[in-house]
Amino acid sequence: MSVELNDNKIYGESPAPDCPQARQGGYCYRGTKCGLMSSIFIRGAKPLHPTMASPKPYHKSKSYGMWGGEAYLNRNEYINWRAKTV
Amino acid sequence: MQTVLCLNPTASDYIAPHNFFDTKFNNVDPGAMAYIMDPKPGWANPKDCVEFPCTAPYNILFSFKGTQWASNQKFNYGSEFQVIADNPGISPYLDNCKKEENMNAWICHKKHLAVLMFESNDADKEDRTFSPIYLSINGTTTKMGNKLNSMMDHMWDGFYTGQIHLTRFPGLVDAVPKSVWNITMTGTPPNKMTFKLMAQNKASALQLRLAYPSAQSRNIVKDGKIIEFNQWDEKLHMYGPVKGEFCGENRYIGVKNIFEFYLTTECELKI
Repeated sequence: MSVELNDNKIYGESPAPDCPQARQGGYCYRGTKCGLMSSIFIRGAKPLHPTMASPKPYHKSKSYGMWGGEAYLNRNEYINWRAKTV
Repeated sequence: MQTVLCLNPTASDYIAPHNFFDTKFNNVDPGAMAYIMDPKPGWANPKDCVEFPCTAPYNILFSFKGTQWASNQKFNYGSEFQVIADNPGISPYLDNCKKEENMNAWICHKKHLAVLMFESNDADKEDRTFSPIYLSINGTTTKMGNKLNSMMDHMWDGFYTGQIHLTRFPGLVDAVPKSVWNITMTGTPPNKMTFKLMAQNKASALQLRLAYPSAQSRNIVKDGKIIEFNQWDEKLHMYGPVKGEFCGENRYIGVKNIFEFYLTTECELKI
């Protein structure tokens, strides 16, 4: 069993800021953000694509890790990543 | 905080080896490459992992090959490198690995880092644990010991937890071919077990030594067939040493009750 993620461009920063600048605007989420969260292989997992409402977080592991599983990430590019959310 | 790589924060049991090929880093800050979390201290409680946190986050292996770095990069680890956790039992003892404080991780330039996976196949595999288990290089004079825990109890039976912990153990090792590693269990080893090795470099391999508390007939089984012990050595008065010639090569050292066998990435072995 394996997961593959191929040929993606994953951006950290873009011209659109995560938070309103100069205290203009309202809602802002300045939490920890991650370009690629590690894959997990678990027994009785949720479907790969959500089909119904689920208690957050969707990635929560609720079962044993499986015997099989490796992740392959090919030709992905990570662009404009700053250590702190702008 | 923003990072390119992070761990699933709920993955207590097993984070599969991640094999990166031809990745490109373009304008990534040094502190934004990765953050590898430690196992959560809160997992150490009677309903989750019991005495100490489950150990999946300590045993991650992100292996990169063919990596490209844009000219605007402020750091460059080269084409081939690995990211491992700040695992106090193994990371400081690996040569060619350097700690990166802001990542809470170590960057390694090694050829044979791998994840050893093994599990109990006994009927009580969810009810009886034999952890902590320590993985260490045979003969090392350091305090090396990659400490592994059983998997978390994920089951709820109405109001109560299930109190079941699967005895399946993924552990980081440096599987330099013909290297010798001890698996030290703090409980009686199961009668039946399965072992496999996963690595980006398929040439990775290692010899494992497993000590038993008593004598009993044991064999290595590969593809459903028993692999006989090495030829008896009259000079040594024991079965001949494992030379690392093929996956499944093995011997049992009588009196000391140590089972030695050779494991590669190409096969699964059962005891």
